[in-house]
Formats: sequence, structure tokens, C-alpha cells
Amino acid sequence: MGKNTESLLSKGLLSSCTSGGCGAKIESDGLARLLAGLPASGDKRLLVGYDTSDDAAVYMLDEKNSLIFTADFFPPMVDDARTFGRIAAANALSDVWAMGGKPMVALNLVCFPEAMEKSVLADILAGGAEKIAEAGAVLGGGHSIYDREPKYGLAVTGMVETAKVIRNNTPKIGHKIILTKPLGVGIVMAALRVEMAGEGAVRQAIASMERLNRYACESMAGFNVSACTDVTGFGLLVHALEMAGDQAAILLYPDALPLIPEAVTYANEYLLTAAGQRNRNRGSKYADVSALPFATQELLFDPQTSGGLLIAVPPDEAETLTARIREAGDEHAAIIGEVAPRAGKVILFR
Amino acid sequence: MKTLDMQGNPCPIPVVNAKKALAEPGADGVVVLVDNFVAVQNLEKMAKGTDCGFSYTEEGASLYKVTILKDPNKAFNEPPEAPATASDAPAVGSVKKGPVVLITADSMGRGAEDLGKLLIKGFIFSLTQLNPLPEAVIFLNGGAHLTTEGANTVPDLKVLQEKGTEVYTCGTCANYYKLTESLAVGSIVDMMKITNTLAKASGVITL
Repeated sequence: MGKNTESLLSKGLLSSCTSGGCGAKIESDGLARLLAGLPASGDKRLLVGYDTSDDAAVYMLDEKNSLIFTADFFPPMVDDARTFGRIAAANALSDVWAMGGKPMVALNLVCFPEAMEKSVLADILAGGAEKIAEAGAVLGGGHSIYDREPKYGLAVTGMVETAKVIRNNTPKIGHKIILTKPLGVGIVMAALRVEMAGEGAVRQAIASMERLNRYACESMAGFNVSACTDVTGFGLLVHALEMAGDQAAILLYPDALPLIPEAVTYANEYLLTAAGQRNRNRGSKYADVSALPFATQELLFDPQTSGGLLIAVPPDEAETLTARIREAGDEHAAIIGEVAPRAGKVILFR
Repeated sequence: MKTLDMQGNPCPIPVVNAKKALAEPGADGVVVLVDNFVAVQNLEKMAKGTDCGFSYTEEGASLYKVTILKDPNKAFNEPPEAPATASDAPAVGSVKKGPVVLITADSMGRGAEDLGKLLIKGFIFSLTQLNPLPEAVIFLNGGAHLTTEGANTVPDLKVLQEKGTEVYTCGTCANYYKLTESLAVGSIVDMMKITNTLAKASGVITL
């Protein structure tokens, strides 16, 4: 991977961590059980809470405007501190766009080892600040504590018109599903961890993780989007499962999935994450993946750090929206499925 | 056969090192120690995808011993034990082997379900009195409920386990019923292990 990587490795950011990126998430089944034990507030102004596994909380200020709240942080999945900062910030901001909103104020969330050089932290924060600025938001402060492994992310407050909140689990039957970023970043990062990843694949994965979902979100303006979420640690299949809600099924087109090409090779070499297997353990109850090639299965379960938006849109608008998202810079955006009536499995394959 | 201690190493490191060990000239297999079940599952995907034999045992609360054999036919034989020394296996073993008991439901017989549940509890208690003791009790499908937290059969199964009977729960079944995390006794095994245990049993009792 050349000298760039060596200098990054010397900082040891990645090697100090047992798991990085969104792959460090606690598995969704376990979380749902814990959250079910919390009292529900019943406050009508909380338009979106934690009961529907949505991307962020939405609190109605008045008929016109609502606030969006989200927080996200994780350990590094790359060695370069500034790159990690950019990815963690892009990932944390994404939930606001997944609700159809605009991020306004961000707070840094920092865990950092006492023994690690403080310049590393300065680089992480600089990367984060870059992305907060690109998002059109402002940094309002933050909180930092000592911890064994470094972790970074943001708490973000955003704004959305109350009438235009886009939920994750309200897709209309017949709507097409668009995915805006290629799958495979989890597998590529797993390959990087064991020094088996090619430079091209790593570059593509990092560019994808750093890419803000702002542009894809702004492209949705004027389209009749019925549901939207971002694909992160639970992988495409489980996020699609959440999108299906209680009524719908999602029919995926495996041949149409945008992929990082090398991720297919790495999957066939079993360079797989623990999080991917946890996603398989959860998702395979709701989908029969056995007829798909092994690598396709793994990419469906691959945890995506700062993944793309998953958007449900009327069939006659899908091509135009996909083209607009591509023009705005997410060139791998593709129509990858459709919303179908529920009968049997929740996730189906064409 | 080479043993790799991969405890503390996140995926995909155990799989990558297992593949390297299997690729060494003359290697007929590898034993991998890992500290989480997800790593066992990732090793299983690699083993099955490369036509190797796969089996594992749970050695402790967070220690799994995975055996991968290049010749899959060998997986049906006893996975080569670490040279079982007389000191850690006092002279109990080689006497007379008891039957293997296969339990496929959480109730016994057809009829009233609450009666069936009473009967199966009684049956499992009576297994503890058997001489020789069962070699193994295997739980699959609905039977998987009997080895998990809250089941009234768990105390007797713990007695059996202490006396040396293996208590196995089918992993696919535990997954299906979302019981993996609430297993209260014995270990989770795959179909290969179940088949292997049944195939070399001195006798099988099926419920």
C-alpha cells in the first residue's frame, strides 16, 4: 500500500482497537430488548422516538418546524486520524439527512487514551470540523473523556419542516428503492486490517465513507419520497428490514447492487467482520439468501460505516431521482429494489 | 495438528490465520481457539466454503475450540483430542458407554401439553439415575427450549453434565428460537457434531 500507509500505521490508531466504525454497534436484537424496558414518554411532540429503529429523534417545535437529534461515535476503522475524523463526522451527520433535514449544530464526542499523543486528537477533530463545515452546520462544543481506545463522533441537532419529516419505515407498496453508495466498505476495512486490501479498494472505501449524504438528501427535494434511512452498521439487508416496517416487504435486485468490486474478491477470501455475521444471524430469519452467491450474501450483511441513503420513491420518479443523485456526485447510486406487499419473508430477491 | 490461539483477535484475523495454517505443506487441519461465537461462525463459513470438515466445542464461558480438517470425511470421526492425558481424565471414561438421548420437542408424547411438559421433566430427572449415564443428551427443534434460562429441566441437566453427560443444543434451532444468548446448560453445537454423536452412539433414544 506504499509509504502513505506505513506512516499511518506508525500512529497505531487502528491497531489499538478491537473493532472499528459502525461494526462496533451493539447488535440490533439485543438493543431492541433493552429499549423495550424503558418507559415511553407519550409526549405527542416527539414525532419520532426510539420505538421504530429510526435514524434520529424528531421533536416538533410547532406546526411548521421540528428539531432532529442524533448522536453517533465509534472507534477508528482507519489509521489516519484526520481521515477517521472526517468519516466519523460524515457518519454522525448522516442521520439528519436520512430524516430529510438540515444539520445545524454539532458537538464533538471524544474518548481518547491518556497515553496517546494529543496531536492525534487534534487531527481527528480537524477532520471532523472539515465535515461539519461542509455540512453547513456549526461546531458548538463537545465533551471528551479518557478511555482505553479512541472513539470519536458527534451529537447533531438539525431542523426539518414538520410536514416533510421522512421516516424510515413508511415505504409505499410499488415504490422503487434507491441506494446511493456502493456496498463493501466493511469487508474492505476487514481486508485492510489484515493487510490484504488493494490500494484502489481502500481509496474507494474511504472516499465513500467521507462522502456526505447531504447531496443525495438535497436531491430528494421535490420528489415524493415515502421512506428514507441510511445504511450503516446493520448492513443493507437489516436496514431494508427496518424499512419494510410491519406491512411491506422489500424485493431486492441482487444484480443491481452497487458494490466496491474488490469487496467481492475479499468476501470470497472470507475477509469478513464479526458485525457482518451478527447481521446475518439477525437478518437470515427474514430473508432466504441461500440461493445467492456467497459474496453477494456477505455484501448484503456487510456493516457499512457512513453508508449511503436508502430511498423509497414512486416508480415514475425513480429514474429521474437516481440520475439527479448521480449528477450531484454519488455516481454509484442505483435502483436496487422495490416495495412489495408482505406475504412470507420480509426481504425477497428477484 | 497446529493449534492457533486467536483469543482477543477480532475478525477476520482468526479466519486469515486458519487459512494460512491450512495452506502449509502437509497440514491436515488446524485447531483454532477463539473467544466469541461469531468468530466460530465465520470460521465455519470458511471451512464449509473450502470443503473442509468443521466442528467445535465450547470449552468455557468465552472459549471455543474449533477444529477444521482438510479431509471432510475425517470430520465424522472423533475430532483428534488434545493428547488426553490420564491425569485430567481420571479412570471413569472407558467403562460402559450409555445411550445418546435425542429430544426433539419441549414436551413428551402426544396429548395434553401441560402433561407432556410434566413428563419430560420427569424423564430428564430419571436420566440422572440411569446406569450407565447417557453419553450425551441432544436437544433440537422445540427441545432447545429445555436447555435455556427459565426451563424447569435445567437443574437436572446440570446434574447430568456434572456427572459427565454431554448436553448439546442444536445451534440452528437456538438461533431460530432466539435462545442462543439464554443457554443455561451445556453447549451449542452444529448438525455435524449432532450427526457425529448419533453415528457413534452405543444406542439412541429419540423423543
